[in-house]
Amino acid sequence: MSQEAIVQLGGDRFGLLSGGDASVQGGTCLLLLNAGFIHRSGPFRLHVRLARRLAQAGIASFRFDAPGIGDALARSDRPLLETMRADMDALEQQHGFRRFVVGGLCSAADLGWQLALADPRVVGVLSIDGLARTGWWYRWARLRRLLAKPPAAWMQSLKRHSRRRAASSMSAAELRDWPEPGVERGQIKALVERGVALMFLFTGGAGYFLHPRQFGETYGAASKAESVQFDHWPQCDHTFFKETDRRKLIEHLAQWMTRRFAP
Amino acid sequence: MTAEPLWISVAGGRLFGVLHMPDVPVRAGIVLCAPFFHELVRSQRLFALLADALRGHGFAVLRFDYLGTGDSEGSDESFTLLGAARSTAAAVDLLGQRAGQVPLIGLGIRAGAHPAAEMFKQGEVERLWLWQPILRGRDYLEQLRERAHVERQSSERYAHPLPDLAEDMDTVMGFPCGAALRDELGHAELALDGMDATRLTVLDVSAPEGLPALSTMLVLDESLAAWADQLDMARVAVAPIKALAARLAETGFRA
Repeated sequence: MSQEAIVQLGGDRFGLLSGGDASVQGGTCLLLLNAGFIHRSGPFRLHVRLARRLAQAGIASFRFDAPGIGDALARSDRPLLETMRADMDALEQQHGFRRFVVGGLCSAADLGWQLALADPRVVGVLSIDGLARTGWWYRWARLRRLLAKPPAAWMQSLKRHSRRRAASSMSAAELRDWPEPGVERGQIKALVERGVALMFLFTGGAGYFLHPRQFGETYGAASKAESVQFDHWPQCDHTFFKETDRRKLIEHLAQWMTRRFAP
Repeated sequence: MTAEPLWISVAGGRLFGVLHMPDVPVRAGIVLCAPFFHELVRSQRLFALLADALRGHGFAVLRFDYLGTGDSEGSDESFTLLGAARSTAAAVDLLGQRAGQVPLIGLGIRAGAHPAAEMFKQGEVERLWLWQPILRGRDYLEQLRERAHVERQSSERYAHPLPDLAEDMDTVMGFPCGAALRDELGHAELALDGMDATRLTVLDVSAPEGLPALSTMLVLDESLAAWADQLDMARVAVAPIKALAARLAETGFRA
């Protein structure tokens, strides 16, 4: 495994390139985007461990901070999408990478999705707890969960639900950077037609995703394409608190990356 | 460039660090010894901003990840208290080379107080600044175990509470924590009363047990102290950090 290298991105921004020679890797690099405000090493060092696992398989990855997060001290007025595309330019110019897999957990999945739509260099999207709609199957799963509890617990659940609704009147769709409902169907179709490989994983920590059939309900017919992988891990939490869950995730992602992008 | 990312060589691998060098002649060098486990992730932004603010007061500040943590090389399981002290020694060496003939300060945050204090005892740093220091490792481990238990039972985290499995006992707040580290932390004790008070500064919400009378105490307000008990990540307010850096420059170090 080659040593990780520091890559300057301009201003006070930098990142760490793991496993890296574009000529050996076939020019593909996984961009691990910030999960919310967590800096580039990821929740519980997830990005570091994933990067090193991928490097063993000969796959390059790059972890870095968006402006205003982690070590990128200065915030920026520039649209984030533009900044990310400029970072891809820097990796192309300095290290020869011309194809990128983008995404990550939560907000990283949202940004990865937008980046894939905006830039033809993106050949893969990694979406963990990304976009999903709360339609029929969500309501069915909620009802089923409630009925599985003893009647005495029903009132408690309803009260808790009311309290949460009162505390935050914003839905997941409003809190996240998601397109208008229905738009995602056309977007996934365009990505599939472009040959972009898509990996979706939803955890039990995504409170808006309770039933695996929500996936097809959200994304429509294109969700069944060969290039789309979908998994639902309801036993895991949103940030993979358990070490065993983290190991399982790293192996799962490494296998997908290897199958799709290994040189 | 105001912050320089770099590698530091140490037995067992390379440490990742960021050096904040001032634009003016260096007044003193500060080696920042980070907290452990989830607190490292939780506070990363806060201390990156503090380092930058201290740089503005003429300090050269080196932040780094111990071997087996953050972006440094080494597996999670390889992280130990002894390894943290060795990593800190390598960081002090590098800062000494880069900052020149200036006094060096060890800033130990939470459990990072232990490797920082080790450097102070050995005379590798001239002053010791301790931020919400963990004095007894055994109590700290116990608190973290209780906290992890609460997390495993949390309905916010899991639809069904997790049992306390044996495999989880090898982790601390989700981070792998091997027998060696658990044993080291279980025996780690930091006695402030035996230290040279004139070179000791403590930053906390209240004076810790055994703080010598002549040491400097800077009281932290909620905006700078609450992070240690929180798990949610949010934007960090810059103004209190700048104000604290000014106070540290004035009272925590007198050339």
